[in-house]
Amino acid sequence: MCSSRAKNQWGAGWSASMIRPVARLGVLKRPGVLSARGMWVLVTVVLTISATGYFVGLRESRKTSADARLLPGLSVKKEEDTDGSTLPAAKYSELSRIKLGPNRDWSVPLDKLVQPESAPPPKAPPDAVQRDNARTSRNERRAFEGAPPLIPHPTLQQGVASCLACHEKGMVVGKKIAAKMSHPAYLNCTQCHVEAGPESLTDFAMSKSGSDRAFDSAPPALPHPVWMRENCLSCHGPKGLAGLRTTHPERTSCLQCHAPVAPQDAPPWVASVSKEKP
Amino acid sequence: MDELSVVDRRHFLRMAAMATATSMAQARAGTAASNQGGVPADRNGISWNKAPCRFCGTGCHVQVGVRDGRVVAIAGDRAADVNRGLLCVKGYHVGMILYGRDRLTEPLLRRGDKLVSISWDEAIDTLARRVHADPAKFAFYGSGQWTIPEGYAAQKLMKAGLGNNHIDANARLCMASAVTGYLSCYGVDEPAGCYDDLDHCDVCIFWGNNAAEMHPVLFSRLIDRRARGQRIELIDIATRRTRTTEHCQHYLEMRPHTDTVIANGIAHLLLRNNTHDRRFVENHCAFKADTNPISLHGRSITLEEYRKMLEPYTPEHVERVSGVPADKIRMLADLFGQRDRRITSLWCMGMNQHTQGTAVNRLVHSVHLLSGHFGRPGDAPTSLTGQPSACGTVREVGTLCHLLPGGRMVANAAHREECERLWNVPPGRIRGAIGHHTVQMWEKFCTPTDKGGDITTMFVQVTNPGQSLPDLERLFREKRNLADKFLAVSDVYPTATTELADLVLPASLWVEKNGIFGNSERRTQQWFRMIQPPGQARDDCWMTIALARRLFDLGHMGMRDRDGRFLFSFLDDQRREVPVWDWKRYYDVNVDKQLYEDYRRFTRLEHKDLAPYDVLAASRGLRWPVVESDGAWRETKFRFVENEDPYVGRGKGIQFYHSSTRNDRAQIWFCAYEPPPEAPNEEYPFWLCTGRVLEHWHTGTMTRRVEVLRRAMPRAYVEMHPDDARRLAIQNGEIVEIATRRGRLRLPAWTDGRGRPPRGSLFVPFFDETKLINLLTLNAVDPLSKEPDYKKCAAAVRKINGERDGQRP
Repeated sequence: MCSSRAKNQWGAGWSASMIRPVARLGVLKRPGVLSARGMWVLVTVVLTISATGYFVGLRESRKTSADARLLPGLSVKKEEDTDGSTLPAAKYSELSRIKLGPNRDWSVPLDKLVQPESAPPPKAPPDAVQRDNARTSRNERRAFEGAPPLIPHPTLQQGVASCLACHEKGMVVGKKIAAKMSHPAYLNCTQCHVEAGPESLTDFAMSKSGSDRAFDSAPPALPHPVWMRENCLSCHGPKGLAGLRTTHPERTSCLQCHAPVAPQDAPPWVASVSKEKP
Repeated sequence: MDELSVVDRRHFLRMAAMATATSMAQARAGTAASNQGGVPADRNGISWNKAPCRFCGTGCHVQVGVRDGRVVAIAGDRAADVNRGLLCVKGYHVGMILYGRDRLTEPLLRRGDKLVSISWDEAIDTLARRVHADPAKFAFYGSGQWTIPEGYAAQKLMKAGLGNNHIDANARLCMASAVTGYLSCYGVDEPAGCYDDLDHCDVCIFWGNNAAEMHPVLFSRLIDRRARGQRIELIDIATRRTRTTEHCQHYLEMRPHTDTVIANGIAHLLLRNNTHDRRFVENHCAFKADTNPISLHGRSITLEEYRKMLEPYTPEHVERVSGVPADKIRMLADLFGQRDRRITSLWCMGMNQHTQGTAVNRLVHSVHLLSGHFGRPGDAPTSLTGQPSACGTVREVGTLCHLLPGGRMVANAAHREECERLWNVPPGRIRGAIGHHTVQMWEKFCTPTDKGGDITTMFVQVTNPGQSLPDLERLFREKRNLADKFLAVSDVYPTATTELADLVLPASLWVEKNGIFGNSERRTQQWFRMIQPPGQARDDCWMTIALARRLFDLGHMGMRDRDGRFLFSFLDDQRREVPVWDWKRYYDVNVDKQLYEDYRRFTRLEHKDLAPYDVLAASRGLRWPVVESDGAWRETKFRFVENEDPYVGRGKGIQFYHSSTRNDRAQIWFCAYEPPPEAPNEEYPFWLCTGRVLEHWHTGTMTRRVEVLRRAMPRAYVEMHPDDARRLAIQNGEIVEIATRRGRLRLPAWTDGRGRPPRGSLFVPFFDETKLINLLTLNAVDPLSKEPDYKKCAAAVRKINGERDGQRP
């Protein structure tokens, strides 16, 4: 407040011309001393100036950085630009590893690829044409019914991680199906599956068409042994060939209705029992 | 096409009954295509029967699907202990080896430049006359793919009939060093452990073998334990990275030939740290060192002398010589020093095809014995075999120039006398002098007769030496220039060997005949004939018997036994002789069974007792010694261990009852490192290694005719390190020329293949008959086993005019 000390400091500096008009306003009780009203006015002015100054100052700093860009010589400490429009420069030693280009942010693992919406399960079992197509495309890769399918695409010569990337859970990419392994996880993939071209193999022993039904609407018996095909959904589920898809993938206890009639699946005591006289 | 055709129960039962009736009728007829353990015809009309796979020494069992007299499908046999329903890509397609387009179907005789077809009578007669003219200059070259009866018939013809010991087999080229290793250490051949060790070991060490490709079913038996949550540590000691390395926790890259140094380094540390198994060594082991000149059983030494001999093999020395870091050697020694971890060592050609093959086999056994890692499930030093019956036929029947059946030695008078008695031949019939071993045999065959080439007639069965011998120009192709040499070959397809043959005999293959194989874990396994051979192809066993009969007719006295009767006599159920040398009568009896039972008598000496034929037929093989107890036939899983091996005395714990020092002790050997006979120099700066690939079996005569396998691996290549390729400006896939002092060959280079050799090293597979890499390999043999070293020689690489290989290698 306008203490006597302050008045003495400035009193000499202030011209008499300042004091007379201010005094006329009534803010001074008597020359050099502020009235109550004067005090309120002073506080309001100070606060107004502070607030104004604060907001102007904010604007000012942004303006300053824009100036810095236009004036490259200006050495201004620049904060992180967070709007993504410029790339941070990388260290030279890392330059070869940094991903540049439009898909630089793409780090999605294969199994998180957006899979196409799989068609809902068919309402009726597949028709003859679909089954034939499925059979043809299966036969193309197998030397005989029950042979391990050939690999129709190039592979890495070493390691199995690249096989599991698609075949551990199964994947559909466009029209290509990478079936989930129908057998338990054996890890020496290339022991049984080798690369060979897509030309069709000579027909060795392919399965007959269709499957056995006791009567028209009965559940068909399993036309092939269960061995190495323990995971039914890998071929008959939503990621299977159209000609093989089941109408009811929600029922997962397959062997409850579909009987394994292949002789290889008979229990070991069948032969001895059938010899016994009833 | 009616998709919903109804197959009713009646139809199904009718088909099943028909199949059973057919098989019963056949069984009575002696062809015995019985459904032993098989299944009746399935919905596709396929009937299934068991057989061991035709390929490698693992000895997986397959179920063979036959329809209309043809093999049409294969499945893994889930009842088999060895593979439990799994197979490898070769095994899955093994049925297709029978149906290559150029299958040999009639006997051929070379007249001038061409092979003309002749009758069987003429063929057998031609060969018999050649042999009869000069029986001492006749040699029989057989195979680890011979069935046991086939090998036994040849053995009897040569040793008991002709009194001629020039019979050897191609197993000389693969297992001979393992044999001398076992004999040196245990006094008797063949592994003491079995495949069960793979299920119990905590650590498995691969000593220079690529099990992921070569014994895939055994390899996946190990790694699939991880999928069940078990921890198993795999260590790959090798000269190049392979598919096996990918699955191993440790990879120890060694310079070629230095495996002896690594083994000695481990033994050195075990002694220095006092972590060897003192109790085991004191109770069960003795020490040996080499004599000069080298001999199979060396000389006995003490533990102190052994320790002294090992002194130079410090980890730092081992690192200098082998390139394996010293701390890895220490890691191995620490592993071996832990008694509670079970360690299995597996090896195959890396250690056997080695000019110090016997030495390195001895040393690896010694490391296991010294550290006490022996005799418990999972603790085993095991040599795997490459061929389906190298053990069963060659090693056990003894079809080698120095052996008699059942582990007996030609040079041992008591053994000869015993065999003469068992064979009922006059005393003195068996010659005491050892015959020519494989490399020697072929050397002599390819040397002019007047210059000491004392083999003029050679009969080759079931093998392809024209592609598999080392230094082919000198050991095989030289025959072209020698008009008076006669080569008779029995095979199923035209091969590199039939190229130079004078007589080609078409043979039955695999399930076209009865057979018995013996695999790497002492398991003897049998199969019945399921289909007819094509054209005029006949069984190898029949050929040997027919040859013997023709010699008998020509008057050769050796074909008579002590009582003047024909050496090969077969009786029917009414004890009447059946003239099986007449092909039409061959399957009137089961010749296999009678020969096998004849041979069985020999197997007791070394306690390698075999089960009776009918017991084998009902099982998926049994591991010898098989002894009868309480009416059942019991196999042996672990030899020399009490309660597992019926011949171990009570209270002995572990008993090496064939010990060469006759005190129930195994031998721990010291062998010094010796440098390889040919190492890279300035002119030939690369190491050249040869070997195999997953898709093809040995010389590829069967697998290259299977479409799937041929397309998966169409031709040979040379693996090279990318830095070497860059230095020579060679691109991946470019045709380059490899040269050694013996020959040169053009191959596509592969710098990112399934095997990654280190700098200065090359690898070429030998399956491709259009790229005979054995023209370049070295003919240097181990001094004791006479096995050649296919894994190391010096080579040079030359870039040629920039030809590119259009296909992927």
